[in-house]
Amino acid sequence: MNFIDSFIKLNEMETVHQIERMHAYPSRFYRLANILEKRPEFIFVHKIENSFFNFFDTSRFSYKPNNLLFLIFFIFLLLIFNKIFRDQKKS
Amino acid sequence: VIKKNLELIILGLILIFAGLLYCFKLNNVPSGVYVDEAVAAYDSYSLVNTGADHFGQKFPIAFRFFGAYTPGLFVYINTLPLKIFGLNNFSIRFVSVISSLVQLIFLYLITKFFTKDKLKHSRLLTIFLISFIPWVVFNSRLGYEVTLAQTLITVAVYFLLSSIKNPKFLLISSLFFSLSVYTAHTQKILAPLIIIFSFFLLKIWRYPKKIVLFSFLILLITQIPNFYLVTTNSFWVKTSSINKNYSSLLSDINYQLFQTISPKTWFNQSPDIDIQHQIPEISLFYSWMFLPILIGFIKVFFQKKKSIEIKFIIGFLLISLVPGILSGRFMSTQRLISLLIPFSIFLFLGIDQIIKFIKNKLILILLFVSLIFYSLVMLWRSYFILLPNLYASNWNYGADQATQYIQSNPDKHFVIDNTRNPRQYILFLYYLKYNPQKFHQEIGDYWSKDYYQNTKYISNISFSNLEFKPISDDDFKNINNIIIGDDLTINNSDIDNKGLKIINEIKFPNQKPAYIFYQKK
Repeated sequence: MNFIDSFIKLNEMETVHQIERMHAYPSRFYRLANILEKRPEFIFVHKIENSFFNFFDTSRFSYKPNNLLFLIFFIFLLLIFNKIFRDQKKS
Repeated sequence: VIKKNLELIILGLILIFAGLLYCFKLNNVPSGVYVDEAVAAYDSYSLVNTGADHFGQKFPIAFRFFGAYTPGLFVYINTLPLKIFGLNNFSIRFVSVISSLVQLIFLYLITKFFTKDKLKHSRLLTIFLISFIPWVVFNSRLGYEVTLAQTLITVAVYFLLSSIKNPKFLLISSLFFSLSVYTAHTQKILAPLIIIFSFFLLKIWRYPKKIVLFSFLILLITQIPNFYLVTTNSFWVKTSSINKNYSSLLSDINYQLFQTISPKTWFNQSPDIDIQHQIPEISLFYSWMFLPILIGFIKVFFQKKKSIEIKFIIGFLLISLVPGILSGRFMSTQRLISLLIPFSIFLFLGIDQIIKFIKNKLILILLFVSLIFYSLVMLWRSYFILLPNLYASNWNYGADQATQYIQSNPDKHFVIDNTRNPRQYILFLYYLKYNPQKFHQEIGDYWSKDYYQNTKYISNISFSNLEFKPISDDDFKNINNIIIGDDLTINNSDIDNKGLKIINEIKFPNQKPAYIFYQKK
């Protein structure tokens, strides 16, 4: 699969899920099912969405228990709380 | 008159739309009943008929259910729709429908604190969008306590913020905070933390002394039943999920924190461990909402002069993370449900910015109409088409048909394999509308003795002509037994070896077996 194909074509596992989803539609929605599940435009939108959110997925870092980001985040929280009460004191 | 009341009329139309959406196919979607719904519903049914829960405990403060000792307000309120509509899927989910509508009204009122503009477009548009967010729609159609608890917190927050201008509202706020603690476990952590935080942020000690004293008295008096529970084992059962080992606890917190702050969790794929908390192919918000929520988030956090309301929402956001982060190894989005309040504010501020940024009205209308249309199609696809089919087994599809078969064979003895679903006896009590008084007599008084200390719960049980237990070889020998199981209960090759035949089969929508009925040839 080239780069563009990877956004509009499904791999084997994705095809299995696509078939499962197609079977879920009542027969009167057959045409709609074809549009929502099979049209390359919709597959493209879903794949782009997935890639976008995978890129920003912070849970990737959660498997390193003592990482630096964990600490930084807590310091960030402390700073926010500190600022809230400092501002409050001033006012 | 119409122009004067336009805001109210539009809000009314939004509520009618939301009400219709939340009630649409409420009996059939999700396509069954989850055990947490069934136990709350059957306990309400038992309360109406006997004044006791299904274990025989008279008017409990917290309900044992499956060992969780859930605060009881939802079960008590649930008795009202149950009296009106009878015991069915619609009535058990009706409290959540109403709660969600009330929540929308109060979210709308809360957005007022975050704008000085008189224009109401962005506030109305935001509430309309919130009304069909997957997370809101899903929770509004659930037959257990999370939505009611979230609504009570929303109402409490509204009155708390109102008390900045009129301190009298603190009285109402404290009452609703207190009530929320009687609704769900999450609020037992959340409500005290918000109260302590607000006390310092809003400088409540500067409020008129009478009001502070009465608010405190409201909290104190309404919490007396909980003071009693604190001394029992039941109050602490949920804390057992918190890891006692320091490094494991840190690792759990680390995992939960990074899952929670990931946009993927909220806009792309929910990592919730429970499939019955999920909707297929959609997350908690629509993916496009990432942009307005991010804009709103930036506006809140990087505002130079923060109003007291903005400071409150930042604090509220951080506090709302606590119950979720302390959930142990697995993520539960239902423990993070209070984040809906800050997320609604971010969405509102983001939408407001977008409306101000795009000056061309036609482009603006076209943009939002297409986004709304796309979102509703995705909701219909995921919630009304895929959920009842793909997740049918998680919602115990087929249990109602199994009980119909049992009812039509009253002279037979049924042995139900509960190996993979030890709590399923409650589904049969629920669908059979089994007489609670008779059930109390059959299980004896063991379960109501030391109710709050004895935290065991039922899995293997017999009542009427039903027996729930893991199947053994002896069960196949009795010719009068009908064994109910799934495709893992007996190997296909063993059916003949054990001299059995299949006498009935109930299938999931995907044609895989849900319940198989075996009998000796």
